[in-house]
Amino acid sequence: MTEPVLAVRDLVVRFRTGKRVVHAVNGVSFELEAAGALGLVGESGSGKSVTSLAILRLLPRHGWIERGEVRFEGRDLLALSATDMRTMRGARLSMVLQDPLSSLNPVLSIGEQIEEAIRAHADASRAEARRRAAELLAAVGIPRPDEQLDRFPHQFSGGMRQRVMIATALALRPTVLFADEPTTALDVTVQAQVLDLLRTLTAEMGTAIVLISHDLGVMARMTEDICVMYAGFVVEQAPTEEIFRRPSHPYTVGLLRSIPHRGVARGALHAIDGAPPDLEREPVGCPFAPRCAWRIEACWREMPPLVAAGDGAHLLACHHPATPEEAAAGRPLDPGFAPAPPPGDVAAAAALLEATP
Amino acid sequence: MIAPARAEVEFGGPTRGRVWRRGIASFLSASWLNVLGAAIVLLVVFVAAFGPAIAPHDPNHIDLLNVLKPPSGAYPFGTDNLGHDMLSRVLAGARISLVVAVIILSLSVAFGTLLGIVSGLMGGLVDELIQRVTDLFLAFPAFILAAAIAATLGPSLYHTVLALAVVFWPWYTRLARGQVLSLREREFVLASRVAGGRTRWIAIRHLLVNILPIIVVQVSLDVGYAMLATSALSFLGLGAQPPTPEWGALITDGRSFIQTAWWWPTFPGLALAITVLGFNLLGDGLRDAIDPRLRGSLGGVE
Repeated sequence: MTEPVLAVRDLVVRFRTGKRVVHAVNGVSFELEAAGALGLVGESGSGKSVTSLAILRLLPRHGWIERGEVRFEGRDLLALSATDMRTMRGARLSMVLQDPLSSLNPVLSIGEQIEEAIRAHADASRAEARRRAAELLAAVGIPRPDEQLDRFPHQFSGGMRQRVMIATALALRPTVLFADEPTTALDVTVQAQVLDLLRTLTAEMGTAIVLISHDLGVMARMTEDICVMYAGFVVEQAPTEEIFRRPSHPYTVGLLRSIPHRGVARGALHAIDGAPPDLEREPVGCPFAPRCAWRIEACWREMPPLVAAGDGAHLLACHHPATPEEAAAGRPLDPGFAPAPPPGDVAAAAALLEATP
Repeated sequence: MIAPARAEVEFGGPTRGRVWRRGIASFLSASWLNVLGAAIVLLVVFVAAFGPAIAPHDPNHIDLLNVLKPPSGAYPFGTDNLGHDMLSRVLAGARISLVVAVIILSLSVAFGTLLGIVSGLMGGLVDELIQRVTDLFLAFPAFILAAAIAATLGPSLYHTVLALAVVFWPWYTRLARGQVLSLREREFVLASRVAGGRTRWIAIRHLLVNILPIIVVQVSLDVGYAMLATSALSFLGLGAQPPTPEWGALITDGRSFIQTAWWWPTFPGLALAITVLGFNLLGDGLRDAIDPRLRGSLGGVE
């Protein structure tokens, strides 16, 4: 195993909303190898986007990094000065945002916006930047790039705009590219093209990619490893194939079962019961416990640590993981097993006392 | 591997030069009032630039043989009690009014917009401080404040300019701050940060450029008010002093002659009224023309 280019350890991010604190990310750790492809998967609000923004140190002003370490090419990003961090962004660490419709400034031409990204770092003349911008547009498959440089975002379709965003993000051949739901806002037919483009270009440039998505189909095509996130925790992490072949965390099982399959009768979509937890509450126990069919009494009390399960590459944070047979069935098969009921008030109080030092 | 994407979009959209031409054409065809406003403004600008060259007389030439002459072929707007040719003086007044309005608005737009962007971008204590100072200025009735400042500094056209700039800037601070507050949360600002953009660069490139259309509309509406206020202060004797052919000063000089020499205060008054009307029509037209596009470009709706 080679030295990772990006290593995140125990990242904790909080937001303040009024007087309440949102526990957005609760100790996320992962590593990314050079030219690797890691997926962060989870439902809305699971902390995927916040994790990437925290790594880039671009959290909104009411958010902050409580603790954690982000090592990038041997340097601690969280210890860098604001100026040093700015020179990293765009050049070494870059990002494609979710919505290409609003990520481009409507009043600046496409060319001006790509040139801006180039000239924020490289000491290039306008003419050089423009030539480079045209090359980039050609590389992302936009026909007649010289002409398009003078056009405005509203003259481009969504797919075209996302190509422009990809061109901008990869303009300086970054080491790591975050792609936050890069195809969510696009037509299904265009999604595949954009994903292919991302994969081809990052492979050519040797850029490692962190792909954020709730779409497991996208994950299967694009990534080598997957982190499954829930309520700001990484609950399962394994090579992509392993996740699909042997999902062990009940949440992962639920996610995989919720993908609609051809041939399944209409209306027979599998949803995970319940709703994600209220992130304003201090997390106690496993955040998935209230929705979990496998939960045991311990799940209510303590969050299991993320530890190796089976071979070393498969990490899991679960007291009572699903067996492969159970994963296929989508429910616990142990005869006589019933999900542990939520603890009574006394038990909850005790758990709270135990959890707070 | 890269899929050809030619079918995905039509690449027939106009480029920058044609956007401008098309915009002007659609602005003029939207309403005849726009044409009228634009024509008046163009006329005023033309007169301000070439007035002295086309004026039949020197505006300050005293001709005691031709005092208080009614309008005629030789003196189309008549003469005043010193034999000044009123047409020449009204033409000369256009330059004064326009230059004064431009200086007032340049000062208040530059200062007000800068402060508004800083206020909106920095937030927190800086924002609070700037906003309370702005409130302080806005709490006074604008014209009274300007008159008080002008009176304190002493009657002079320069002091009028200063006084009106002091009155106008808070509006631009408000306007700019409001826009920045919504713009700074936009994805393209985040995208620029992701690309490593400096804050100063973002402020100029992304924020200023986006609020510029609104500022331009506000300026075109305010030019008329600035001219009117300048003339009003001059009318009160706080602004331009004789023999400066400022319209307000001309009106106040001719005021007492209205029964014997109606042309003296009337023509400067008409010139002022028509000019202000022209700028207001242009401003209204611009606002209506830019508003639907604002919904498209600033509101994020396609």
